[in-house]
Amino acid sequence: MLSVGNFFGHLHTSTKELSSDVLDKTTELVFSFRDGVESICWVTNDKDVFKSVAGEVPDIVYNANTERYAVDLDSIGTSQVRMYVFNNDIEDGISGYGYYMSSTGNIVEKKVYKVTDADEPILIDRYDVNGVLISENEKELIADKGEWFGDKSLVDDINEIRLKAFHDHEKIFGVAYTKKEEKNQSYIRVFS
Amino acid sequence: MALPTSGPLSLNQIHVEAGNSSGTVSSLNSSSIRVLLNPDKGANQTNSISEYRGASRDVSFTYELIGGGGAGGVGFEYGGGDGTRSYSGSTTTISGGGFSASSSGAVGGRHGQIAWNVASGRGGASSAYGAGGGNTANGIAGAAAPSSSYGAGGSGGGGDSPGSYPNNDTAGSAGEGGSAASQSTGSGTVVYGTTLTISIGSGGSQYTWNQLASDAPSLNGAGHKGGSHGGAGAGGYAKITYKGVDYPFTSNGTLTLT
Repeated sequence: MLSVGNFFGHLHTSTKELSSDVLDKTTELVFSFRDGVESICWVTNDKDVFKSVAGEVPDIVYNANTERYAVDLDSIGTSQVRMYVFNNDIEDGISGYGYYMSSTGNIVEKKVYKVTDADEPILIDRYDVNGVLISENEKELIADKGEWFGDKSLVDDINEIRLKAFHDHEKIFGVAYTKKEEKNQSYIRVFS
Repeated sequence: MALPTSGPLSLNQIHVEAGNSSGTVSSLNSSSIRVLLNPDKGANQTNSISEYRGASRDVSFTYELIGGGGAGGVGFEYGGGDGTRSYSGSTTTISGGGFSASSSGAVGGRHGQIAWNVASGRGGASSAYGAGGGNTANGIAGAAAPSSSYGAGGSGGGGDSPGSYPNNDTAGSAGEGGSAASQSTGSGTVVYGTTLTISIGSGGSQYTWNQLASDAPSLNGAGHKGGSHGGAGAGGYAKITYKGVDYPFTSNGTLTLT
């Protein structure tokens, strides 16, 4: 099956361990680098497969009207599990929501991802468990592939796989690079 | 029209068939009428009127030709095109002695025409002689059509995926592959000694994204973004066959039919 998971899943230890059924259902991967730590966010359009991987999923995530359920695989089992629901398209200027959850499944923080214009940064607002604004308009900028802070070979590997997928199967995988402003954080998003 | 194969046949009839004026001086040894013999015996050889029965000064031939292929459209890093096309190929012609045949050059592919996540349509079209340039991945320049694929189209340049998915506004569309010219075949007849002139159409030249930014600054993010070049189309071709011999042309030339 020509899924993101099957082509790119082997590039990270956490996705390498996923079953073939889960890899088949993988629609997107987000390679993340935060202050020297690399992790991966796994995305699917199947809420039940999502639940089988993520474990405890709050209703606000499970019942979201989306085809893009995401969880940071490396956060599962920690005291701060990161889950996301990305909109299929930009809706009312919002591209998605993030939820930080305690190990007991309680939401402790919510993030709102806003998009103002094509070339403008993604703006992120953070709210605490009570809906009180913690911070607003944190900028996630469109970046160049040279601005990936993690292992540079990952960029080359992704490009090589994308070209091979195109030439062997005429399958196109998109890639987007972003970084946080004034933070040592960058992301590579691979999608179809 | 060929001389009769039976019945009366005069020297004057042979003289006229060879392209001379009726009633003017001639002889069987004249080079002006020996040309009707195949092969010409040469000067001071014995020949007779009967050897000219069925002879004709007309020379028949067959031909095939094809114009140049269109170049691929430029791929965009940002946005899409407005339907404008890359360079067209030019026409291949054979002409002379009142005969003419031609095959038009093919149109170029449209710039920024294919969505970033669609693979089909980026390759150049195949001609009767072979494949065009292949499909092009995003971020890659389109390939030229193989030179032996006369008249085939060049590849469109690759596009670019959205920079902040799912915001597709930031994506760039790929170039469309160039079209292929149509092969034309047929036959013709010209007078002995006619020189045919063969003009081979060139393929559409590579269209660079820098050139497009200059030609149409409003496209591709107002010209401030990068892009991927469209590949060149293959040049045209012509072949004339007469008396069982092929005469191929990949560049301009002449051929005298005797």
